Amino acid sequence: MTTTAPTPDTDTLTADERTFLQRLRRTPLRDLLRGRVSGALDYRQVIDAADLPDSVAAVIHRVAGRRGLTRWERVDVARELIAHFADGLDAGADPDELVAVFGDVDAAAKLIVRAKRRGRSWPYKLIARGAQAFGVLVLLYIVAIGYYAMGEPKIAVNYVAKLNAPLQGVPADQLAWPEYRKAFLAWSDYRDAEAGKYDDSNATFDQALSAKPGDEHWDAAMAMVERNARVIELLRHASTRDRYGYVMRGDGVSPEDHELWPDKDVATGEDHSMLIEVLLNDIMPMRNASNLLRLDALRAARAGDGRTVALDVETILNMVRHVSEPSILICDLVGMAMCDQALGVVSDTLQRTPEVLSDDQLRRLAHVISDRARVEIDMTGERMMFYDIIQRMYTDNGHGDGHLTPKAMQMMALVDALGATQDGPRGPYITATAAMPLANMVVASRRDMVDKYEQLMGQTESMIRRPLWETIDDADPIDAYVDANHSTLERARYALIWVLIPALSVLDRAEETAIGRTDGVLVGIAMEIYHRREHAWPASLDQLTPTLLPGVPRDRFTGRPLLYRLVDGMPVVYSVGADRDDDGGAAPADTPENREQFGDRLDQWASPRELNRNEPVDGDWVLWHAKP
Amino acid sequence: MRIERELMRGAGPMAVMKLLERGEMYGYELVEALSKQTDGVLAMGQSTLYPMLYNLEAKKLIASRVDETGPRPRKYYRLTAAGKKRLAQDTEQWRALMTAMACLGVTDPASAEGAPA
Repeated sequence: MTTTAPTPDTDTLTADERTFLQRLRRTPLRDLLRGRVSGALDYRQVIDAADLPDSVAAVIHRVAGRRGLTRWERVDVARELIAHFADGLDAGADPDELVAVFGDVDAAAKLIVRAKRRGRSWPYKLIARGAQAFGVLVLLYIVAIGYYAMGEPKIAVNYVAKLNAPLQGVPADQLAWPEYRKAFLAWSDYRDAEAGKYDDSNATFDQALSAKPGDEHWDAAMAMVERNARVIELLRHASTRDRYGYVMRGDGVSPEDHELWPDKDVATGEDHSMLIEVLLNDIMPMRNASNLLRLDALRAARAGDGRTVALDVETILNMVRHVSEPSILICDLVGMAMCDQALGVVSDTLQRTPEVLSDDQLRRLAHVISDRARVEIDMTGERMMFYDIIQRMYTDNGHGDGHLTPKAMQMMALVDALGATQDGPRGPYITATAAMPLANMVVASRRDMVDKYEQLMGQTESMIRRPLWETIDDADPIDAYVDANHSTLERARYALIWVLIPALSVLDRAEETAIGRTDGVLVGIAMEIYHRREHAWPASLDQLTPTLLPGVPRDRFTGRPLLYRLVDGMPVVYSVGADRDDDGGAAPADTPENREQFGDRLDQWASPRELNRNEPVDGDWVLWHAKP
Repeated sequence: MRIERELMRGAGPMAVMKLLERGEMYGYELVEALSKQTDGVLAMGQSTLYPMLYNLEAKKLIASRVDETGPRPRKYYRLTAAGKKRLAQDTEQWRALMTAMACLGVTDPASAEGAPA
């Protein structure tokens, strides 16, 4: 059995027994400023010092110690009652008689508290009310923390599985990825580069892959092509499969892929990763392979091997179809970049060694390019990523609404919203929980967030689906919204959207550039065939239709037919470019001033949206021109 | 004779203000004066007096000061201008009340005339 030592009651302690801290708390500021810890606001000390009979002192203790009085008021009441009783004692009254005459002590104490409260100054009352209101707010905030802390996100949809679902049931012999994997496993250069062991004193792996005919790394590139003839064969074979078949995971790579990427974790079973965490390991090797084929095609063109040129171009375009098969924007953008490599090969061959391609090969290329070189931007995956994040950040009330959960604050680190880094969680869970009520006041509810996303995404998609000439003067919906809502609070309200919604200026430039480049190459092929037949260039592009072209492609900036003229006897096919001004087929001048303002966009174009409404560069967008 | 609480609630403050009309007084003095000058009829314990004083002070009808020159600090109360005005009004009302009571034979008409001025 244990016993507990009695706790000292401060009411019964003498002034000497009270701790320094207790006296410090009851010392007026003016005494403290004088360096005295007087404890003058301790009514008990005042009563003790009066040295009254115990029965009298007890009455004063009960009245002055009544809850509801300030320290000043306690001392004031105590002093007045001390004086009163002392006067009575001085007059010869008996202490017990004085106590009896005093009346009902508790009633007196209650009335005194009420009267003292009534007599307080209005600034005091204001501050007291303010403090009470603050206290209530703090209490409500704590209750709100409890409410929000109890909210758990409900992960209703496995978006990683949903994204991979189209591959379910596709026969294995129709899937290309296992064949691509064989090619990449056979590509020792790629695997050495991945492992940091690529060893070529003339060029790095990337330098060799991006080499152009005649530049310093060209020989290294050709050497790489020669040693990887087998890889190219495997790529060609893989590209003929109907479906791509790369299974995306966020928790690692499949056991089959582990040999290719031994540094990655092996993952099996259902993947519960966030869609935004999905590892697109395949993209870089596919792009590198596309470059290898580009180099092979350029080599073949110089060697007079038109068949290989056509085969490599077709292989790249098949790979474009594969790599952009998943409904993820980044895959589409990579597909467009690979497409540009194929178009570059054709354009280069037409300009330098057109004779290596037979008429049949040219017609075949035109058919393949018009069929496969169009990558349409698909926002399905972007939407999935958004909804996946929403379901992991918000609760779900079953009616499309909900509030942020503490996990949301930590997840912000992943989506890099509100200035967080991607290095790790945004902060401890407890901090995130404490911030919940405030965050829910600032950040939009689930329904508001989804509605705003759909509104802005819908506008963005609508603009992407329309040709550039119809939308070029319209502002990016995101920019327009931000411009119309200057308040930081309003911007913070939808911070998640600003991070997750793709920038229209990037999308329309990527897509429209791809369309323009494709149109240019198709006109170039038609022009070459016409030239072979007529031994002269056409007087106008209309002469190419309908036998060599179904119609003259439209200028992406104006909607009118592409412009065409002969410069020094050689044809130039062009768009008026971003400035929408016909400069006679002259590309923007490669001056330091233009370079400073427009960077490496000189040979392409930059939309007014992308330039933040600055004047676009002066000059035309040359889509194809023949060389003497 | 002790006055009922309800009656005392109206009469007490007026009696205190009337005493303070003559000059400032401290608590014990007030208790003694009320007891002696009313033959104990308006005698009130401190449990009644001090809440009443604090109430009157809160209403700005009386004001206080602490005199620390004596053997012990003492709080003196005095009537304010607002207190004087209220005292005059209350006196008028009491006089009317006493007259009315006299008409009903509750009080002696002579005592009604002798109501505080």
